Amino acid sequence: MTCDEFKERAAAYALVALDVGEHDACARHLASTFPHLGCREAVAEAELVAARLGASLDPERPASQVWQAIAARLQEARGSAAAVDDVARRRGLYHLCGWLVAAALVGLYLYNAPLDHRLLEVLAGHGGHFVAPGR
Amino acid sequence: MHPGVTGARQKTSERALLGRVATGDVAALRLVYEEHAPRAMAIARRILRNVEEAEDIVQETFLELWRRAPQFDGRRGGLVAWIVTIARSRAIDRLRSTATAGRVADEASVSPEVHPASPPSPVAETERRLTESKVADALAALPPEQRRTIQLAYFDGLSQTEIAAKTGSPLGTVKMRVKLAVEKLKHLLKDDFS
Repeated sequence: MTCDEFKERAAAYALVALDVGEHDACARHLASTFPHLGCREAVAEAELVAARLGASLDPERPASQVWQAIAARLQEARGSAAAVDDVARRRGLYHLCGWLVAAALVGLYLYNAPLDHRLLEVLAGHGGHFVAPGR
Repeated sequence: MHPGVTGARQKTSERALLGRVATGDVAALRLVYEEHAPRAMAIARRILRNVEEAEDIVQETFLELWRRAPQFDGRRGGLVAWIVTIARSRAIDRLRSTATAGRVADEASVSPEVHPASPPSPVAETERRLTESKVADALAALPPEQRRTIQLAYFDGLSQTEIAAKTGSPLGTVKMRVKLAVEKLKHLLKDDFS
């Protein structure tokens, strides 16, 4: 879709009066990052008209349960986010422990490695027969 | 005070409020809700003609606002426009998914009964009446076919294809009417957008 084709549809897009396929194509065009030729401005202007039309209706306060339901959903979302954080924290701790164990093993190996080399050198110097020091 | 100055201040305060919502401030969302939920409710109820479904839409609208607050772009018409757009889109999605468009279209000439839960302040009421009168005048200034097309699209949530089927007009004609009507309304209501 070109910017000109989009702008032809901008008013209907803002009014949500396009058919689904066309609406989705417009949404994709609008979301694309290439330089637009006034597409966003065209939609913004049409959305302002739409908002003004909506403002002419008598406001109607929803029941108090609506806000309570919203607050409950936010609380629930925060609870699950906290649980996810907790799991992530524990998982992080397990990972850290794993790395510490691995680092300790590597350290032990490196600490022992020079001794092994010295042992091999000692063995090589005695024709492959190990003679205990002091004999 | 000049309306442009008031508008600029309002936009700044909206951005600040949405900024707080974006950081997870529930109290800020509550403020936005108190101010704008009645408008979202009005448009959702007008489209769906059912209080419970409209209340569901209001709930979805403000949860979406909560999720998308960091994306708020004040240049695209301000908070009211954003909320009305979300509420309308959600209401129309529900209307179309439940395939009740035909029912609504048949009832299009019937004005829904509205019961505001609490009386608005005199200033807010005067402002709304003024807006209502301006919008009514602007709609009245449209040619009858364009006016009918906008009413069916905006207030009844019909797509252009559905409008064409309902009015017996070619789809291309309906598309042109929508485009021309919005252009004209933009011009007629431009003072309100400053």
